[in-house]
Amino acid sequence: MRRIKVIVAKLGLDGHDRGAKVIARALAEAGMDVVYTGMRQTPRQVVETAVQEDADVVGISILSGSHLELVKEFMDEMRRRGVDVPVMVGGIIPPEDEESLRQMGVAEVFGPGTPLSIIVDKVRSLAAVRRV
Amino acid sequence: MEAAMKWDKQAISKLISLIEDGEELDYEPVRRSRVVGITGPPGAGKSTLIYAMMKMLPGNLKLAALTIDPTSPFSGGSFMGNRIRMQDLSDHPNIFIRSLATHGSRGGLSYEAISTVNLLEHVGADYIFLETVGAGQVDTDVRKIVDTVVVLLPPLAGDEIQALKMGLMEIGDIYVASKGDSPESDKVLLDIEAMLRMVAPRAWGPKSLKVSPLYGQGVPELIKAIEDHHNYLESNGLLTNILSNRLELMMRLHAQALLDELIEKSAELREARKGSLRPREAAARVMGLRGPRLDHVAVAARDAESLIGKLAALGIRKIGEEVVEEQGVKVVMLGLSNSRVEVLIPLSGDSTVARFLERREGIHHVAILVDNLDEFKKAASSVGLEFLPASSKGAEGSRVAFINPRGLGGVLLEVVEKKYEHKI
Ligand code: B12
Ligand SMILES: Nc1nc2c(ncn2[C@@H]2O[C@H](COP(=O)(O)OP(=O)(O)OP(=O)(O)O)[C@@H](O)[C@H]2O)c(=O)[nH]1
Ligand SMILES: [Mg+2]
Repeated sequence: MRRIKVIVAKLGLDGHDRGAKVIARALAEAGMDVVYTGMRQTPRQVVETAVQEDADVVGISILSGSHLELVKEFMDEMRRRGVDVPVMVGGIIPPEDEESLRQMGVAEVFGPGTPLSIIVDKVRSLAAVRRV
Repeated sequence: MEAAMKWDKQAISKLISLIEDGEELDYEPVRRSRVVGITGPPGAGKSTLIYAMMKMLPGNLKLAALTIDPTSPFSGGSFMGNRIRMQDLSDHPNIFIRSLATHGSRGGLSYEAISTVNLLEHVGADYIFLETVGAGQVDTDVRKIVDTVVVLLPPLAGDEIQALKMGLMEIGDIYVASKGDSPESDKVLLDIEAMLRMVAPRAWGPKSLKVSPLYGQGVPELIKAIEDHHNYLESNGLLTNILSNRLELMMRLHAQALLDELIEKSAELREARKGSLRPREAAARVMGLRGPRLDHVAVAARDAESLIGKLAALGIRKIGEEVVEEQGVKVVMLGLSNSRVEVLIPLSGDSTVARFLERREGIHHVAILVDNLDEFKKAASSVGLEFLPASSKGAEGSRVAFINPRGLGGVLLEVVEKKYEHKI
């Protein structure tokens, strides 16, 4: 049986990769297959990665402050390509932007200090919904 | 599948997921790709090299990369980072990249990985690059299922190279000193060449070269060497054999997985662990190769032809027949998994089977296989069972005996001991 497969990606020119790697490791240690794309990804590259890997969940890490533009572009590209996979965003996201991200179709937003166990549980439940 | 044949990546990707879920896809595997295995120690530069080759190959070719990462034996999960080196090709229309984890394949290639190679070939990839971390079993497996094995050796100190060479020198078609921009890589290339001079010459003498994909050096030469090797295989008719190897390895891998499951659930495992059953004996028993077990069930019917016809319709088909003159009977054998049904047809009115049929139809006798007939006979006598005088030698050195049904609830039991049934 296939494990839960998660893409962890970094969009844009943001060089903060510590959080993304921490998340990727934690999900792998929780028994998932985690594909880490590395930094400096375009929205299109990440969408194509989700397609080719048949991901259950896509997680995006942004600490640069340009989350609104990048995530908008990313979600548009997902729709254009017809990819229906839940998206989570983490990093430095001001509380007032959370709602805007959800409006765009983002399933979950996680800021600094979120316990890893909560993130692991959330990925599991998002993946379970998609698999049925 | 139709969409996948048109290189629809979403469709290909879903099919690979089906393979990972254990489904069998319905298609006839073919050979049409150049399948290249890239192996070498962790960090040798395998992903970077695949990226450089994909970037350099003509843009109209369909290229696939399948990268295999180890599953953690502790968590069951995996961290797959090979894409990092290839990401800016991920939105190229002709390129398809997929990461697979080794899962339950004991560190070797998994059934799913080989099946995915077959699928990518079927949907028309011109090149398939298979990245694996070089280590023991994986290498020997990769060797069998790809056309060309490229072994990467990074710049390393002499001792480390010596150790690596032991395992890797048998399997490569092309040896590559990677990270050729580093001064030590010249030494690695010399080492490789010295060593290739020592191994017995083969029809395809392994090639060696130096690459530095980060600086775009040596990559066209490597692509050329892969082409040459492919042409060599093709002109010697060796390409179809590789497909057969894949199918064989898939069968073996699946059989091993089934066996693991069988062992896991078995009472024999507990007995072997306690020491109450010898490991060798426990292993054979788990597979149904030792201990008393069903050999066949013999039936007699007045309309034998009709019985045989109906059983055939139920999937129990004829696998042979034999005339046993001294018993006055023809035996038609029908196959069951690990056993068989024998339909007894009397040749004359005075045979025992004819007399049986005068009384009734049905099960004539049940035959079991035992490991040692003499021991079995002793045990049977000790509980008051008697043997019929008809006991005799069977075919191919096997021995048989019949137990009088009177002592066994009316069941006529044939006991068979076969010699040399299994090699080990
Ligand atoms: C360490 C750090 C750096 C390191 C980065 C090292 C590295 N390789 O990652 C260095 C020194 C290189 C650096 C540089 C810069 N930094 Co800095 N950096 C930080 C710092 C102090 C900590 C970030 C961190 O690693 N946290 C630890 C990780 C584990 O936490 P995390 O990333 O937040 O992840 C958690 C959650 O957010 C969430 N999460 C994150 N990603 C994801 C993804 C998914 C899928 C999920 C589910 C969850 C999730 O889960 C994690 C665990 O709870 C922050 C301040 C802060 N306290 O956050 C500033 C900070 C991010 N940096 C900042 C800035 C401005 C910069 C620079 C521009 C500074 C400069 N002027 O030079 C440069 C830019 C570098 C670049 N190229 O992008 C600002 C960003 C401001 C903004 N967004 O508006 C911050 C917020 C500091 C500040 N208060 O000003 N930085
Ligand atoms: N100097 C130099 N570095 C290289 C070259 N090729 C790869 N590297 C670096 O070597 C490191 C490992 O490269 P990868 O391509 O990820 O190696 P790999 O063999 O795929 O690694 P694993 O998949 O982790 O086993 C990276 O930091 C690369 O940038 C090269 O030609 N020259
Ligand atoms: Mg790699």
